[in-house]
Amino acid sequence: MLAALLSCGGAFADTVYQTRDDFLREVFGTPPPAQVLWVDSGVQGALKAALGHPFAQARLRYWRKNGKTAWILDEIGKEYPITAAFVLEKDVIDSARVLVYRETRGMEVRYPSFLRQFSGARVRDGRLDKPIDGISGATLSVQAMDRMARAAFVLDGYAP
Amino acid sequence: MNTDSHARRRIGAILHRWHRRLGVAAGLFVLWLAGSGIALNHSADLGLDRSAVSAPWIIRLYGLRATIPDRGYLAARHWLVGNEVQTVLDGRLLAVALPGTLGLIASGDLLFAANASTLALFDAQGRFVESLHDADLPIMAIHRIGQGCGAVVIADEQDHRFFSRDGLTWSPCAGAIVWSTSVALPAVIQARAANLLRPQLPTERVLLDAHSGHIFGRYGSFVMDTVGVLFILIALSGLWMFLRHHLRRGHP
Repeated sequence: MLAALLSCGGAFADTVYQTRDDFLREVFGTPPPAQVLWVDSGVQGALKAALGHPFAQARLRYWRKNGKTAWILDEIGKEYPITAAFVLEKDVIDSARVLVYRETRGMEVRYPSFLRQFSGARVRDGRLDKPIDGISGATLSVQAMDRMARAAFVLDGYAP
Repeated sequence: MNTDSHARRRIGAILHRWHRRLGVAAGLFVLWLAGSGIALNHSADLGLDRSAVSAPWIIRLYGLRATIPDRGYLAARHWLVGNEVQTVLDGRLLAVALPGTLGLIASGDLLFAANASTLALFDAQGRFVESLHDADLPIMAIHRIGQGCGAVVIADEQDHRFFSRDGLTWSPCAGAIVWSTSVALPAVIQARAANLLRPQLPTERVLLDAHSGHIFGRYGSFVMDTVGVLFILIALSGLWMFLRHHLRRGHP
């Protein structure tokens, strides 16, 4: 009964914090045309190691200009996918954003104070070399963001 | 004095007897609530949030019923069948649902399935390639999908038509177009789809509703409220007996 009292029955709804086009304009000014990375078995294997599960799609778009590459990924926190964007420059995360949040709890991952922790992070031995502080009540969303950040490094390594 | 003492002892005996009876009655509920509560607190670790329940008798408790379509879309021997919740391609449930499907087109090595807001691409083996939305498409909303100009064609309500061979670049199409239309499903395809389109609920949700009694509707909640009152009576009677016993020992 305690669990029933504590649980909230919020309705599933997309909350768009930033559209893809607005994000790309913020990063690049005039966005470059999208490029495409095909997720072959090599990429799939590396992504599976980063995400802990197979990557769902066979083709992914990314945007590259002036040494910066933007990756937009979806990853389920608890029940619904979080759409997040990561900008990488010289093997370092330049910035991270939550574009769309769909879960009923854990939307605190959208706050700049949380997202700033990703800036300057690299990947060492498959892990981010900066500790990412958790958020109470948003553990699964924080973990999803961490997985997506590592996946962005994998994709950046394979992008032509 | 003797009468008072006798009456107190009698009340104490009755209370003790009912306290034990209530305890036995509540025992099973305590076990259930404690067990299910612990499971809910660790639902992510136990994978309850990722698994689904589709047992017909549980689904019936929620008043859900599968909508089995009698029509679907056929393109190059690939069948696309769906309802408002789930979509099946060639006997496989898609991770991306396309409620209100408009059509299926096979072009080159790709399959294109559309609803108003999404153009989903699959390879020839039916593996998901990519979902395209308004930011990726030359039109805001898809009204029709077809084949023409040697490729897949999408059109909006104003009949602005664009074609693409890969879903990456789009150009206006002025040629003849064969639009995708639904066809009656063969019995075998419908039966296979029906099996996959059964409603499902997350195990965590079902367990939570069973924990709270909501799974049995209004009466389930009343039962669990009664159990709650039972727990209060047990706690109060136990407390009363404990205090009475200790007060008596402190003041012989």
